[in-house]
Amino acid sequence: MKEVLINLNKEVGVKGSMIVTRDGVVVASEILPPLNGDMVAAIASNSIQRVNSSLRELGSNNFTRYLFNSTYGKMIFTETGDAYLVVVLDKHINIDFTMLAVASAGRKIKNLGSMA
Amino acid sequence: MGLFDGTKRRHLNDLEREVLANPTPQNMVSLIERYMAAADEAKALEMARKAVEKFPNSEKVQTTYQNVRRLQLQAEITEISKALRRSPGKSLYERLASIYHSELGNRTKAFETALEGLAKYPQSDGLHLISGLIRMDRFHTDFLANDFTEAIHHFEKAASINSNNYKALVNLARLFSEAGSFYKSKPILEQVLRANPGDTNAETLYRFISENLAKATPSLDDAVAEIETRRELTPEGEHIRRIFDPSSGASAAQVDRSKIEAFLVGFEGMNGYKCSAVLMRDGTQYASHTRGMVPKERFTKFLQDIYQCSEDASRKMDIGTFVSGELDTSVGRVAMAEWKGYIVGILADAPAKKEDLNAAVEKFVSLLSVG
Repeated sequence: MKEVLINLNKEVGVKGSMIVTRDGVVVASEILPPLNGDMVAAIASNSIQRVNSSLRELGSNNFTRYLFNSTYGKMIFTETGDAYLVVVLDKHINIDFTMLAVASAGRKIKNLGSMA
Repeated sequence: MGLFDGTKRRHLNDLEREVLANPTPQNMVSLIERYMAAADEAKALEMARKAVEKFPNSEKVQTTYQNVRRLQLQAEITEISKALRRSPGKSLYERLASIYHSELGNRTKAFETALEGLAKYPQSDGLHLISGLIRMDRFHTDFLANDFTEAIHHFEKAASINSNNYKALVNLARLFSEAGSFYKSKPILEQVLRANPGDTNAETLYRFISENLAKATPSLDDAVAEIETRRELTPEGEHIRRIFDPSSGASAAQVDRSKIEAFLVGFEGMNGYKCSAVLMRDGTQYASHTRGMVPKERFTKFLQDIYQCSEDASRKMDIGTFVSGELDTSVGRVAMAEWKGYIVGILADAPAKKEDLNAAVEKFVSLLSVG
C-alpha cells in the first residue's frame, strides 16, 4: 500500500496521501513536507467521521467520494472498501487528470485490501 | 488561405465579438487558448491580463494567465531550476520566487519556493518579503488571524535583516494599521518617510493614522480575532487597504432572501434534483427549497455540518478557507460552493450528472454576481 501512495505522490500537484479507515485509524501515510503527517491524519480522520455522521442523519450510507477546494489547496477522500484514500493537492492542478490517478490508486488499494 | 484557415479565422472573429459583447471567464479563456494555438502570444497575453482584471477570483482564468506567462518565462524558469539543482544560491531562490509571485501570480509556487529557500537561507530578506506579501494576500482573502501573524513575522524578519527593505517596512506599517494598531505603525512610517520622503502611499497612511489615533485599538490580538470572526476589516481598515489597493472592496453581496428562494425553485427543472439550501458564511441558514423527498431543514443541517467540517479542515491545513466541494453518497451527489459570502448546496440523484450540478452552481454564482 505504501508503494501505491509513493507512486501517487509523484503525480503533479499531489502533496501527500494516506489511507484512513472509516473509524479514523491511519493505515498508511506518505505525507510530504512541509505538511505535518500527524496533523493531516487528525484532520482526515475527523473529517471522515463528521461527514459520515452527518450523512447518516440525512438517511444516507457512508460517502464514496468527498472533495473540497480551499483557497490554496484541495483534499480528496475516495472510498477503497473499508478505508478511504486521502490525498492533499495543490490548488492549481488539472483535477480531471489527477482524479484519474487517484481513482486508479484507489482501485489498487481496494484490490490489495480484498486480497489481504 | 485554405478553407480550414478561413473557418478558423471566422470562429476566432465570432469569439472575439462574443467576448466584446458579453465577457465571461469561459469565453475569455477560450479566446486566449485560440490565440495561443495561433501562436499569437501578444494577443494571448493582452487578453489574459484583461481576463484577470475582470475575473480575479476565477480559478480557470488565473490558471490560463499563468500558462500564458509561463510560456514566455519558461526558458528563465528552467535555467534557474537547473542552477538551483547544481549550486543553490539565495539570489536564485529570490528570483524564482519573484517570477512565480510577481510575474506569474502563482502564489502557491512562489510560497513553496520561498519557504524552500528560507529553510536553506533563513537570512534572506527577499524571501521573507515574498513570504510576507503572500501571507498578506491570503489575509486579505480569508481574514484569518494566522495569515496576519505570519505576514507580520515575515515582514519584521525582513526588516531586521535589512533595515533598508522599504517594502517590508511599508507593508508592516500597512498591516498594523489595517488592524487598528496605529501606535505600532506610526514609528515605522516615520522611519519609511525619513528614507523615502516622497512616498505618497506612506504619507497618506501617516496622515490618516495621525488624525485617527483616538480610534487605535488597545489590543492587536483582539482586533485581529474580531476581523477573523467578521471576515472583514473595520471601515478604517478598509479605507487603509484602499490606499494601497484602490480596486479592493467589500466582496460580500447583498441579495434578497426571497430572490434566492425563488431562484432555488428553478432547480426543479433539473432532472434528479432533490433539494438545495443557501447558508451565510457564518453557517446560518438563509434560504432552502426541496422537491419533497428530503426535508429542507434536514438538508440545511447537513450542509451546515459539511461546510463547517470543510472549513475547519481548510484552516487547520493552512490552505485558506472553503471554496467549493463535492460529495458522492447513496442518496445522490452534493455540489457546494461559496461565493460572495453565501454557501450553496445542491443535492441531486441520477439522471442528474456532475455537469448538471456544476451548471446549477454556476447559475447561482451568476445570480450573486449580478445581484
